[in-house]
Amino acid sequence: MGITSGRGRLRTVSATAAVLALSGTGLVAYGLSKQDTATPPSPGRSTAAAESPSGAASSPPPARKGAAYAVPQGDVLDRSQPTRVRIPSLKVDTDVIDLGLQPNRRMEVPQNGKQAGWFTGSPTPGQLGPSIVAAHVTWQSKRGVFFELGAMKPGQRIEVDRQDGTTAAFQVDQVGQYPKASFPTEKVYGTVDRAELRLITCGGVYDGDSGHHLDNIVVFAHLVPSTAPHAHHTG
Amino acid sequence: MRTTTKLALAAPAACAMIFAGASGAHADDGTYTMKLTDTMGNNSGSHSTATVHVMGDQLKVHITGSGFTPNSPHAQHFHGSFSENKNFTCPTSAADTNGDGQVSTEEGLPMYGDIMISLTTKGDTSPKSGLAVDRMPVADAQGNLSYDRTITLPAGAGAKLKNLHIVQHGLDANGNDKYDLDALGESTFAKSLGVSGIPQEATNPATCGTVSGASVGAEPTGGVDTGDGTTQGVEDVGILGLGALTLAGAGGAWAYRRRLGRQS
Repeated sequence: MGITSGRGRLRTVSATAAVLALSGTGLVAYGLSKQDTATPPSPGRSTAAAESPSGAASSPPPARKGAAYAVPQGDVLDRSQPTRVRIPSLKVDTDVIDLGLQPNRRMEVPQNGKQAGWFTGSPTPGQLGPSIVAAHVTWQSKRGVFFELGAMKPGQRIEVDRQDGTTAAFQVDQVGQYPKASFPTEKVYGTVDRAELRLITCGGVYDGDSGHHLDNIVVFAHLVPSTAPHAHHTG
Repeated sequence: MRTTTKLALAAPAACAMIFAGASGAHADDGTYTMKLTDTMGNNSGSHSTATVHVMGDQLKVHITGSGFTPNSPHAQHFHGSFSENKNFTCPTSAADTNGDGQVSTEEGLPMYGDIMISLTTKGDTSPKSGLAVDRMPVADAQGNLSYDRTITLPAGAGAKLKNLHIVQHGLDANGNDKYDLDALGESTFAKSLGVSGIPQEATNPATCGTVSGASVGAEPTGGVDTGDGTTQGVEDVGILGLGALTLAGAGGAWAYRRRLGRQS
């Protein structure tokens, strides 16, 4: 319907469109509006339903709709192990090793203050789900590679190089500090419907009696297009 | 801002003393979530959530759903392909090519693919058991359905699993709380496989879904020991960066109070 051409006729056309919206085409529009956007509807089906010739014309049959088809949000990458992590705002640029689980089911941590480690039980960075990368805040009287992690801000960028030669770029959503005694396991490790990254380090007050920091700092981030450094793009 | 406790000086590097060892994880292990919905517009009223845990060739499936035809078996399968890289999907109402108002199993198959695994309650799980309704989960009187089973996968299937779709079949088109021939007639799909007299209601797809979320499969316990507390005077940058923080742990509150006392 060419309802947008001719500036002078705009008002008339608008009125016509309004009338149309209340009549036949309205049914199609209603049908379309009831469809979920994740699965583009077939206008043909909606129209056919609206024009159902089944005699009982007292009330139009409800437009047929399918429920949403649940799929991951945004892009996800194929599996590829991380090799390097960069945090430009903190001037962090370090290689990434593998971390497994200890026999007591606590996560292993790097045996030095300079490397970061990827938890092998988590998705690789860029895959669907929460990918876990940890590094030390302190190590043998020196600053660890994630020393300043708690100073990160939402919107900042994290880049992870992967074995397949690709770089997965992430944007920080949230920075949290949690007592280890009440670590938010579900929030950090639980189900998400996009490719996300967690950077974890120690934080908070150091408890000399136990030899541990009392808190963990967790940076939550999600995958963004690696070609859009500031999450802006034209078009 | 000198914020560290003097205790750190005497403490060993105890926040991180464990050497990395073999984790035993397979590359394609993972825990995935699938939301199963009536994408077909078949008016099934059914929806489910499936959690799929892959560990090597072991597949642990947990499904809970509601809105199913009560007291009736619901055939359910993984559909797709273990060999092709075809992009399978869930059908919309557009797949109803014969226009009878229902997307049938045959009409859906080109979209979600052939049966790869039959999610039976016991015994065989191969495609051969696709119509084994005597071994399919039965919805309770309220139409709730739950299913738990661990299945040994065919070799190499673990890597493909996250591309498959789960389809649950069986719906009540005429609202009499059972499958009957009066509603939609005889199942053309069952008949094509040589089984007569099965209502179309029993075989039409009620829900469909694929992997939409993932979590960390083997979750670590508790927090992460990433810091040995040995940088005197500098380790609280994190706190400064965060500003006000919650010190929920009793120990945390205690230590914080001590620190404030020393600073003042």
